[in-house]
Amino acid sequence: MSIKAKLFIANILMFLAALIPGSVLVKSYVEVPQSLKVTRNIYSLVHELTLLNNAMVDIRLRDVKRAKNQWIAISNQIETYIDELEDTGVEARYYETLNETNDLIRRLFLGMDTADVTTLTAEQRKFLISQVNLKTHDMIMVGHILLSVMQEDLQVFNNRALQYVLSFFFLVLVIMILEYFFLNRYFVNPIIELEACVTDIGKGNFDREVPFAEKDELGSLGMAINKMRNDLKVLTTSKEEFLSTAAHELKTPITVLKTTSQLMEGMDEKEVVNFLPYALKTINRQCNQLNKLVVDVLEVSRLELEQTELRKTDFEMSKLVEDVTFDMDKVSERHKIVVLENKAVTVFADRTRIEEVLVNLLDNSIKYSPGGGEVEVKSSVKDDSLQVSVKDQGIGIPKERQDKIFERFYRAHEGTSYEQVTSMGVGLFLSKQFINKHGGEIGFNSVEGKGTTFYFTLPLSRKEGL
Amino acid sequence: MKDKRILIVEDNSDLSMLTKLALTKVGYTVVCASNGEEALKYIETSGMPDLILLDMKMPVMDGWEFSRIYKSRFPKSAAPIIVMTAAQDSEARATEIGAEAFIGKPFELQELFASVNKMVS
Repeated sequence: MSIKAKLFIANILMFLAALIPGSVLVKSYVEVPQSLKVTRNIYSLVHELTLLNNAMVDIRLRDVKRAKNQWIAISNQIETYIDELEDTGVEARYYETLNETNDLIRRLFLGMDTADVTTLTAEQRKFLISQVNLKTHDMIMVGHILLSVMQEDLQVFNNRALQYVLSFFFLVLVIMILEYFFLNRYFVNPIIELEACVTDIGKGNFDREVPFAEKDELGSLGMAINKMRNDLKVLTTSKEEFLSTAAHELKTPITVLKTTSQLMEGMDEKEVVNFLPYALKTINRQCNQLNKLVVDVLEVSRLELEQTELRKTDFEMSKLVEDVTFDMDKVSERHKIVVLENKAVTVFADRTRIEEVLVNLLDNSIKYSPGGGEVEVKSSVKDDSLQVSVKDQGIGIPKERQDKIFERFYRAHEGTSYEQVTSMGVGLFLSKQFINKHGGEIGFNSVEGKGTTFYFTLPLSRKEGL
Repeated sequence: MKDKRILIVEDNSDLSMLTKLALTKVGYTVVCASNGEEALKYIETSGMPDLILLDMKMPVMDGWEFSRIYKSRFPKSAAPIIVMTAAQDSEARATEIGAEAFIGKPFELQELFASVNKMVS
């Protein structure tokens, strides 16, 4: 069952939960007419009057005393009912008529003390009975009229109650519909969108972007997923590019080695002897290059598993700088590496790694100043730490690319005409990892078109100056 | 064969030097350019060679851009191109840019000679 269906069911349940008790409550707020309260009394009144009528029969039986007491009792009861009726605000003419009639009948009965009923003639007796009959009939009439009025009131009451309840029903219905749409838009649909996006990402499709951008938790979930998708996309693309670049980079030195050896196969002794020095230098150079590339690739995967361990020793930094600059100077004829400052100082670090860092920086300087020129190296002590800088007058790093330069696989000149400068994009990433692991910092200043200065710091050995 | 001129467009100086050496030994005249821009300049100043060996990945102007400009600027006099590259998908791309042949790196010298001889004659 989809969440939309579930939402719908939940809504129906809420609707019923609101409606049923609500209706009862609403109905109770409808004003009950006063007159309905005395319906019972009216029924009783009529009943008593009927009794009275029947009691008239006793006069014929000449048991006046007993009849009289009965009549008086009934009459008193009728008076109570009439008083209650008066209290309820029923129209005056009704209870006044009843009052009058009741008084008349009572006087009739009370008057019988003084008179002797047995002395009454038959005609006189008949007259008495008919008078009482008439009056009680009047009262019964009034009672019936009152009852029908009450029926009408009851009808009106029921109608109004129905109206209230129906209004309530529609109000709740409208609220429920609004609430359904609200929940749908702000909860259900976003969740469905998120599900679609994440499913896509799981399948390796990074193109679907979460569309909404509310400022609530679902919105930030959406943004987090977008960011994750983007990172994955970049990483996947970078990795693919890295692999393709790595394959290409590795094949180039191999091609040189192969061509060198094949050339020599086709040479006679004399040619071989002449060619040998160049061949050997080339082979050496290419093997170094291959090794560097292989190491880079391994480092990148090793760092992924965080297995790199530093083997720190005390060594002379100035000697390292000398050796590296000497070797790197030979790499390019158009470039000259100049050491402006080289302080004799001992550092406690992994010499191999630091060498790799320095080689990487110098390599970059050469690669990214294609016109040739000088690369200045300085190694000095500043604020209790060693600082090494490498400065070139090359093409520089574009400002918008600068903040990502230490990222794995990132090549700042991707998409520019310098894109094809052979580089796998891992050198700076690795360099940063190494320097940071030593507790040092690495950074740069660069102006596009003017040049770049890279620098790194290392803590000094405990043996130095303490 | 001495009158046949080959232009090598390759940024790796070791490789272009070695290839030049190999081709010179079998009697060709060989000139090297280190990127597409240099190659175009050479053609403009010294005329169209008989064959161009083109690497794809070079700085400043790569193989793709070079061949595009080359084909539009010299539609009639264009010399044949043999693409030399290490990337895998370049075979398809080579036909895309209208190269006449394709040599993958690393290559056998015999392979190179066979292809060159075929294109030049």
